[in-house]
Amino acid sequence: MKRALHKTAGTLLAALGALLLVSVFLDLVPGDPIDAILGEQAREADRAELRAALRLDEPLPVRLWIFARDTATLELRSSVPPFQDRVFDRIGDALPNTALLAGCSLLVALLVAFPLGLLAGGRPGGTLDAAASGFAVVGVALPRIWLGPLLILIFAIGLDWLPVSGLEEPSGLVLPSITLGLALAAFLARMIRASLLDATSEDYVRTARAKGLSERVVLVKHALRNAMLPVLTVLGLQLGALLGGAVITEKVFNYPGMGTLLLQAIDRRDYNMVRACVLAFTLAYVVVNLLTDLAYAAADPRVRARR
Amino acid sequence: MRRLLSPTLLLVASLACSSATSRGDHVVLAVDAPPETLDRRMALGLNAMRLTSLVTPGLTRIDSTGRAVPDLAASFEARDDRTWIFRLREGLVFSDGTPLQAADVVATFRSVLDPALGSPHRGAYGYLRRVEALGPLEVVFHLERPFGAMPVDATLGVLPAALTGPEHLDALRLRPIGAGPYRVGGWDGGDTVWLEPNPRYFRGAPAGPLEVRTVRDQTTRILELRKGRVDLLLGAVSPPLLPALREDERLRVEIGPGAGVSYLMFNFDDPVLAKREVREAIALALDREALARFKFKGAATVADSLFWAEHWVYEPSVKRYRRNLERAAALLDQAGLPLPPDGGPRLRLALKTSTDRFRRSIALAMASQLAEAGIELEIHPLEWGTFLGDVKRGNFQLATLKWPAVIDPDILRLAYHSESIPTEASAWGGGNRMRYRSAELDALLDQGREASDPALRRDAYSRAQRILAVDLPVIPLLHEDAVGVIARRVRGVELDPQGSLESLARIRVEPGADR
Repeated sequence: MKRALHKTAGTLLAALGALLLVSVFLDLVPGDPIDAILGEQAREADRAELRAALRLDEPLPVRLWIFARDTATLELRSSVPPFQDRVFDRIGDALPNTALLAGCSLLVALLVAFPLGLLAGGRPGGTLDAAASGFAVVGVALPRIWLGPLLILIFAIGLDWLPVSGLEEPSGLVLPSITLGLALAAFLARMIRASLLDATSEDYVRTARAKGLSERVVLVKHALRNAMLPVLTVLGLQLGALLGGAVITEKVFNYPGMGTLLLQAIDRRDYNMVRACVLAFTLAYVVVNLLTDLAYAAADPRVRARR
Repeated sequence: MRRLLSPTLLLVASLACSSATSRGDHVVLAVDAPPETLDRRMALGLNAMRLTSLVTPGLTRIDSTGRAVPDLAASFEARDDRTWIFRLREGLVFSDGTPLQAADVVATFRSVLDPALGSPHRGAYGYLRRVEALGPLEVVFHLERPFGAMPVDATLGVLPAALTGPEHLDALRLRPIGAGPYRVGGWDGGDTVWLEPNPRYFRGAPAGPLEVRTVRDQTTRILELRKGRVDLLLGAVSPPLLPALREDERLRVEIGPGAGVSYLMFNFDDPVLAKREVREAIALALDREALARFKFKGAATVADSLFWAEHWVYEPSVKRYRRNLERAAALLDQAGLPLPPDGGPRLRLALKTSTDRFRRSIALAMASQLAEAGIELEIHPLEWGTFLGDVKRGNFQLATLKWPAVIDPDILRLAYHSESIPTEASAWGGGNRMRYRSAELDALLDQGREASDPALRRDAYSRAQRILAVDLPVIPLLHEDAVGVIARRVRGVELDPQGSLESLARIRVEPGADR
């Protein structure tokens, strides 16, 4: 109970901190938001009126209070003309899409990373290890802004199997998931290999081998399970980042998720939308961290006992 | 695990049926950002403006020469310089079947002027004193002051009088009712706007529906076009990509005159740049034809004025500057900037520009051209907000900027009138960032603004353009052409200098021409 209270208080603090930081930085951005919204050719009367409508003349605490009030009642609207977009409706549309993409890329990452990590870690120094490590380096290094269009060229245009962009068809998920998943997979595979190597030098692995267990059972049942803790940590962090909207991948694939929403809000200087997106990201991050904690307990009985 | 498997199966199953299907009459236009609203009174973004004109046309529209011509109006005239009368076409109806009459026009304009609506264009229409209906077909506008460009402002989209109140704003944002070629078939505020032919359109309904799809990334837009999922890209293509697109046999690349013009501006507060000889020498040192050919891949024309050649006030007899390094050298000598014996530059200048990669590469090309005339140009790319802030406050020597669309010549007043010099008191508004002052030009610009007779306006602006070409407060660099990349199956797209989409209402689709 006390733990739950602590967690909730921590979440609220994190959200508040993120909100304050973003608001302060939005204020520090050089240039007049009025120019960005109305364009250069706007007349003085319209500029003054918009400035008043955006409450840009009021101090930051007042603007934050209004934001907090509208957020609490879920009545928050976009802060640029026509002031009509309902912010939480937009986030409600985008967040599940981003969660779906994050889930699918995680799946891709796991499907690729585990076999690779096991192959590489099982026989360190072998040809397979070199190949898997090579893949990992390439996968981490390839920029998504390049990999995305390349995948589109091959699978959507060349082979004509998949749509180029969008999510009108469920198959629109495939390429963005692969783009995001491959980079993550490369990273994870290296992680799995490293912690597997650590684990195989432990006493219990030697014991297991001495018992005459097959190499497969030793690796998967004894070593891998113990190697999971650092991998889970990385996974949790990466999933949090994925939920923060994989901005570039979402833009390349025109994916209707949080990254696209945030980018558009920044383009339009829609401060309310930007703040709300950041709030959503913070909450998503905290929730994922909570889930990672739970996964720890499942993977390692010692964590369970400590509670 | 089973829960994870089912989406995977779903994906594999859908692979089989995802290849491009024939869409028939249905044409897809890709845009770079979704409109923020389809209510013309509230719209600010370019895409919103262009789409609203397809659904809710106004009394006038802007033709390809930049002139306001009758659209819903049958005719208009100035009774005196403060009274404009518009006569509506007979028998107009909105897409829902209700008649469109003078009362609807009056209600639309009054709603924009009403602070309760909160239109961002209220200030722009501040010169209107009264708008009244004279019978069902005539509307009269009483102006506070003479304003010759009033017909340009009459492009405001006409809405049914009953829907103009603030209480209908949310409904009109997504589904405005107008008398245009299309009506809104569906839009949820997101990435795709469905437009359906309006069978009651007075020029006849378009052949098929138009899907306006947002594709944010330029590379992806082009890949969608090559896949056949998108038929049209109007604008929104960067010139370096044109050669590759010209090679694709399923596509046509069309180029027409564009209303956008890039320019190099001088700060008159700088003692060196205040000398006319120096400005002329820079104009003579630049090779703008090379910029058009190599940087824009032919999709630009050398500019001698802010107006494109077909514009109704374009003045062909202005002083023109083409590359002439000898003459540039003579002018610099005359200005007291001789070539130093140590081989250094005659003159060092700093150019501020935005961080956009394409703009920066143009700035670099200009620097190397000026270097051949002994002028060393240092380039300072700045983030847009900082850049604009510096330019407004006069914190620059040279800067490059672009007018996205020069439509009515009254824009010259914003750009060059001494009253348009940004100051602290005007909150740094106004477009005369050069701090250029000419009493003769000011008088001509006032005359052009106040005259209601187009011939008088044209005369004033012709003379103004001749003065500007001699005084050179800016060097107009290039008119950036309107570019369209069009699937072969779509016929009849006419590129518009300002990017208007009106010709889409007249396109035809030839099935089978795309593969």
